[in-house]
Amino acid sequence: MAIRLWADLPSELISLIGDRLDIIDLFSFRSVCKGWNSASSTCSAQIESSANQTPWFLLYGESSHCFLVSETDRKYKINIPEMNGATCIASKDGWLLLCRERSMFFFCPFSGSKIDLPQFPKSEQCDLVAAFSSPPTSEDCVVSVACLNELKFELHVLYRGTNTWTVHEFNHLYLNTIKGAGYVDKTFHFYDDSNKFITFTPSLSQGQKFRPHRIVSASKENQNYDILPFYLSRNSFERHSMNERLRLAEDVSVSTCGTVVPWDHLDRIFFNESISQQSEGQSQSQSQSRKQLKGVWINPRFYQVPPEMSW
Amino acid sequence: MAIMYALKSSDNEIFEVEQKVIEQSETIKKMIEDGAATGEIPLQVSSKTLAKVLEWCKQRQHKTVENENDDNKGKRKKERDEDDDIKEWENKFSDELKADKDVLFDLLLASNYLDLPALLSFLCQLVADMVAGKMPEEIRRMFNIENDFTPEEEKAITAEHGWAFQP
Repeated sequence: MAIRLWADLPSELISLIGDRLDIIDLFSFRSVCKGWNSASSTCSAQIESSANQTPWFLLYGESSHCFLVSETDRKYKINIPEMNGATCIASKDGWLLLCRERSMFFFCPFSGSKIDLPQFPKSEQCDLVAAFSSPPTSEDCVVSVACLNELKFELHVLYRGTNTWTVHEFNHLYLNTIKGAGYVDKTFHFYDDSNKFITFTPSLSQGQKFRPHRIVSASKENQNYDILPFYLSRNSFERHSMNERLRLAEDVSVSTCGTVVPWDHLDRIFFNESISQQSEGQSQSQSQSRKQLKGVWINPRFYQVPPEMSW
Repeated sequence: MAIMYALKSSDNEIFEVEQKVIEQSETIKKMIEDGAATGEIPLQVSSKTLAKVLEWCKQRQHKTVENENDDNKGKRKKERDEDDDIKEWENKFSDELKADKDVLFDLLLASNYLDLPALLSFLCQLVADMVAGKMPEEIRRMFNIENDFTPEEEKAITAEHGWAFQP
């Protein structure tokens, strides 16, 4: 009897304890015994102290072998078949939005949970940048995937529970490459690599959904401005010394997908980046033989979804 | 004159306690409000565990009363000192529980049954801290838990979480 004591702790207490563990400790906890495993299946490692926490970095792009670096620089090799051949176009709250040719799906690499989305309408090569309003398990989740042509800003929008992407276009004429995206106050924000951004509010009527903006510095003469609802981090890779921490070889370049992290009162957007360590004077042929890897900033969360769950 | 209540443990020991102290328990508070608490209040908690519960409640009560009596002058320093005192008391309380996991277990159940959210949260955090940084086998040893996974289940768990335990 005594030997079963802790294994038989009521499941609500087990999950209260599990809720207080970070992801690695949660995995240990879940591996202890059957009772603890099933009682902690709703624990997500979303601990209260997780604000202002630097996300983890997942390096992928070579088969299914991935490399994970924690915020405290612990390193893990992890095999994720779903990442093979895929590109991450958004990352938030532990969920990745992955794109493999025309198939698109949400994926939680820490649990292996996957939610397939309806086939994406665009097939031609175009750098996609996306954001989603809330976790894909929530009823009101909206996904927005942006694609920028020379003249048009094209946004493909998908609502939870629907099967069709709707497309919205905006003749921008001024945006540069989109590098960061976020969602706040029922509005999607897409930031380019200069000082411009465009917002999209799905709930507004046609013609008002899009609004172009310019980021200016605050000054006395210029008081008629709104305050940015995000902190923007444009060079997180360098700032967090990822080059050294990943021990990348010189012939490797990495394109990263950013994320959104809770930070003080505002969320912080980590921008997408393209990092190459190309030294000056390197010839074109040399740069073409470089190894291309991908990376994504991710909040370490564990979400299990029922296998029958669909978008 | 403080109103006193008599709590009766499952092994029939009587504890005389001030109403204010014991009303931290939502379960007992409700019993009192419902008028079900005339005479002795019988509880499904052993005397050893109940003594620990009351030790916690008195410490909490002490803290709230002192804060109410404070004026603003010199409050900062006093608060700091008090925080230190509380920390010290909590550390001692934690150490005792870590040393006797049977008591910790019973106290967890009691805090849940008596609906003492602050104690429950404190204890869950304590267990979480004890588990943190440990491998599954170490946790099993610590809490005397049998590995009851079948070989197939064990394999599935390793496939799912095994990467996290690389040396």
